[in-house]
Amino acid sequence: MKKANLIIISLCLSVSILPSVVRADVVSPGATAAFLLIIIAPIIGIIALIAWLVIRKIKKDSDSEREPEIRS
Amino acid sequence: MPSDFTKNLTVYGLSHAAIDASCAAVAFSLLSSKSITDEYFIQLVVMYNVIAFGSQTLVGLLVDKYRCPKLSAISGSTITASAIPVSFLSPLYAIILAGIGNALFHVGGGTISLNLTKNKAASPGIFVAPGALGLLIGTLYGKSGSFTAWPLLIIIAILCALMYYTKYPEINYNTDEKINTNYFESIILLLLMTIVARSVIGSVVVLPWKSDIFLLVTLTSGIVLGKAFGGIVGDKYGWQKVGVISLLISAPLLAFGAPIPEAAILGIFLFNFTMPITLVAISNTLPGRPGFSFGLTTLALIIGVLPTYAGAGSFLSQSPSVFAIIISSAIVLYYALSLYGRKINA
Repeated sequence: MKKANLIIISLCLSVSILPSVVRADVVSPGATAAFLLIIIAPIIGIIALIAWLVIRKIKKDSDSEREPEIRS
Repeated sequence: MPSDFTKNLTVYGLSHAAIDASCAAVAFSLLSSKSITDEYFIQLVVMYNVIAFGSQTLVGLLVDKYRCPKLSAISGSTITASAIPVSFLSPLYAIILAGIGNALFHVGGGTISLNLTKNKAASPGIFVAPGALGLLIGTLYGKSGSFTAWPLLIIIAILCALMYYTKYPEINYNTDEKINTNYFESIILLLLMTIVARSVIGSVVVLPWKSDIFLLVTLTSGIVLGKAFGGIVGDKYGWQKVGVISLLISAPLLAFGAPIPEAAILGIFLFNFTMPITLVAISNTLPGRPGFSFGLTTLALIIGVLPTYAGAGSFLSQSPSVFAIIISSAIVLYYALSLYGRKINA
């Protein structure tokens, strides 16, 4: 449940922040692609972090399943 | 009567081309209609890429959880189709819709293609390949100045109906399959690194002759055929051998032969061989999670274009940089698939 919440919040943030950034850039034409990157990179980073946590969990689950087999 | 395998591959391959064509047409029609500035266009494209490619990991998790690849593909196509009329009203919302629709379609179609031939690279390669053709057609259509909504809407509606009536294969959602966890993260990380490198090269290589339409079509054919043949040849002769050798040959062709169309097109053809190989190797390493696996590869693609967005494109596009990146990618792929082979044998 916690993971699902995290995924949904991240997805919502990504979709809601980006349009605001683009609109901000229209208001302030001095902003460049580098400015966009300041916003985009953390979003990609959050998604990558979630992906990594999922991969770690898959490994952890697999390890815990194998433990009884190794012991026996 | 064609088999379910052929039907699925044809329907989802054609849909892939149509969806990518629609997204490109929407974006470039905005530019050609002069309804937005060049700078705003670039920002919209950046935003589209982040939504379309970045979100596929999360969409993949959801599609795997709820086991709904067909729903994802059809709803993605419908949302992408809705972006076409919306583009006449609001460029921003059209791009958001195109990005979300594209992500949903790719994960759905990718999940199905990964399960058409179990553990083989041929089907995913053939599914992904038409995307490049769709992008070319969509770009030319969008730029033509005669962009209208109905041809693409009709095509997508027909393809949605075909997807609905095509029985998709049994999807492997069995996450209890044993994985050798000794090299688990290393394999995934190394494979993703090769995809990042491929994306970097794809975004920085400068091909000055691309304005010639004949050469552009030939180049796109090279990409399409490279992705399609990469899986077939890889399955036949071994992923490691085919993937590494194709990268090593493509390195000098792309690094030093970019101004020569024949050399660059051959280089691009070989360079794309690794696409289906890396995709299926990741999917096989994460059994029962085809959507998440597909999403990981697109996340790597968007990470690979970040240096270009940050302004490092001019440095990375230098011949020595291109050569070094591709050679490094070949070495990383060699190690990744060596560990992958040990995993399978273990």
